[in-house]
Amino acid sequence: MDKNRILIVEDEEAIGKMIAMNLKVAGYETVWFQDGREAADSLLQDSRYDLALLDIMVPGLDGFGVMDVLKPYNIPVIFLTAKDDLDSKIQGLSGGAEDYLVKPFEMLELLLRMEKILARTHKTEEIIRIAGLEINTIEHIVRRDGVEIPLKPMEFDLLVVLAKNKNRAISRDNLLHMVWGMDYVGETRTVDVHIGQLRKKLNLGDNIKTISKLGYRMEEEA
Amino acid sequence: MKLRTRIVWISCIAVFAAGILSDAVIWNVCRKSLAREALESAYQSTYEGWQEIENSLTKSGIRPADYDAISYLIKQQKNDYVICIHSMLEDDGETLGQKEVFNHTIVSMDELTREKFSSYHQMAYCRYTYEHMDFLIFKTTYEREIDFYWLVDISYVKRQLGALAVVMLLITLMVALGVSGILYYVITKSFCPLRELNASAQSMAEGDYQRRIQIGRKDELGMLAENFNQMAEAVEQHTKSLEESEYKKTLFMGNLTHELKTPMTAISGYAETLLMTKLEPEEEEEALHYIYTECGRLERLSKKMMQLLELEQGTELEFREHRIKELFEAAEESCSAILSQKNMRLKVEEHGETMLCDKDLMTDVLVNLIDNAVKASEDGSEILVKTEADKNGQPMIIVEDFGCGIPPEEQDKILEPFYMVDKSRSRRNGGAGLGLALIKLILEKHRLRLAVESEVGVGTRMKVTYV
Repeated sequence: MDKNRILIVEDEEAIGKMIAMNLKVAGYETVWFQDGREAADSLLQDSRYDLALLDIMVPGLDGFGVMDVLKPYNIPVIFLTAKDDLDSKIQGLSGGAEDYLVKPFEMLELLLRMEKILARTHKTEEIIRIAGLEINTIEHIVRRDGVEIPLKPMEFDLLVVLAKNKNRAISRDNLLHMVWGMDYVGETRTVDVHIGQLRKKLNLGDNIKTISKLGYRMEEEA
Repeated sequence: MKLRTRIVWISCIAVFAAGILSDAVIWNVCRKSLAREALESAYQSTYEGWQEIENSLTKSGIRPADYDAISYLIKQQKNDYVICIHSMLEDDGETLGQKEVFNHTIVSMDELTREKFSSYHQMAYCRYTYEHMDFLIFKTTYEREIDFYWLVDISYVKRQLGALAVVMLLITLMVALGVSGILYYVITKSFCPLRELNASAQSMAEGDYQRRIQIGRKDELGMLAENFNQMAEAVEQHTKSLEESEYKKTLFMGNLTHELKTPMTAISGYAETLLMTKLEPEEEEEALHYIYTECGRLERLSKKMMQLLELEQGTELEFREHRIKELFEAAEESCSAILSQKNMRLKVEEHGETMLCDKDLMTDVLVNLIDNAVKASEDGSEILVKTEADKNGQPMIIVEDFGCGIPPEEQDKILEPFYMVDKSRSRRNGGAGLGLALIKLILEKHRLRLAVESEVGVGTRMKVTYV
């Protein structure tokens, strides 16, 4: 299984490292440049990227310029920038960027938006393999060693969210939003009940960790 | 009503009233003299007529009782207005009865006897009015028995006076109109600048402060216009400076939020990563390290900000005469760490000059300049710190490096807060872009100025000189 490759152009060392660190944990392969010109030039040798995260104000060539270079390669772009004025947003989005995130942003939000774009461009795997499970997101079936394990729809959705964000804790509130939807009026207790079901049915007691005060995290030993 | 119309109206009325008043006086004088002349001429003609009749009567020895003869004589006179009255008298002079001889019948006997006569020369006269006609009645007596009443028509006096009044009134009216016309023209002309003033004030109220009034006059209006121009100038200057400072503030705030956002993104991002994700121990360490360094950056930024604020709010500075040597030594001491880090050294040169300044702030300026020079230079190179005399003999301080230099188009901007020639490089060096802005402010307080001479690839000379 090939990992999705992400191009990062960010001149701030701290932020670039941070994004790379998080993406690595989330199972992406990253290439990070601090200079826009260098990033653009590198595309001549290697353009096998599934997505690009661009800061607008970078030395060499600014984010808009890098996006123009990326266009022929059909690499979708998300802008990450401190510029939150409307003009920059319009310029970014009308120029063909898929999304626009203003600093400071939350990593979870970035990951979710990346996932959406990758799903739209069919760069995500239809079958997720984790902790000895085979999760088929098209057929909505979970198998362990080829044997199908029956799950209720909400349990399945919860499992997919946790599996897609492996090694990252997600709060009960966020889980509620992501699985049951923004409109769902219910208690976070619902999440606990469904987590309990998943642990029991799939024998995931060790993999789905409860992170106190925060939420749940699905872990897989590397 | 407009001021102009009001002035014209009032002056028109005033001129008219004055004219009427003088007319009345003149007319009255004319009336009196005309009346006197009329009386005189009436008297003359009457007297002559009377003399003639009296002569004829005496010559022909006509008796008072001879009415027909008298009547004939009078008719010869061709005076329709002579009335004869024959009073029959007793010897003692008492009137027994009267017999009238009338030429004309506009005056009755009774009326004549009722009139009061006053004497004029050798005759008595009175005034008499009959149907808008004015008459003078002179009275003469013949042989004590016949009274002659001579009526002289003086209506022409009234007519003449009437015509005079009309003419005077017309002249007065024309004068008043003429005067008001001239006044209108004069006032309109002198109000021209007022109209322009008005238009300018209006356009100023609408926000156009650039308009000025052109009036080549030295009178009150000219002065007003000049003062107005001065006011407009002051308002324009003031608004401009306000707008400028407002723009600077907005820019400053925008830059500040940007400078805050980057470390904040890193700090909150790493904290989130540490909390939420399962990391390797070395990765955790790295995340903590970044949180720590970014916090340091925030702290430096806030320190500089505080310094800027304090300076801008005008804290009292301690000006004393300091030897420049002391300043150089203090600056060198503060910079020793960064200098040794890059294996660089200062080459100091001074000639015992002194400078009136706040020692701490002036040292700050030098430290900032040296810091910038170090950042721009290659490892192991040299930085010159020296004094020179400017053309007025005042000392100036020069900090010179042989580093990357500043492109000409950037040289104006480097004194603005948060401006960095090479953003990522400056950040890596720990700069926030406030150093030169701070220097500029400190120097302003000292009435000093920073001059930048730089060439890309050759080096930069920063000169601190007196204004």
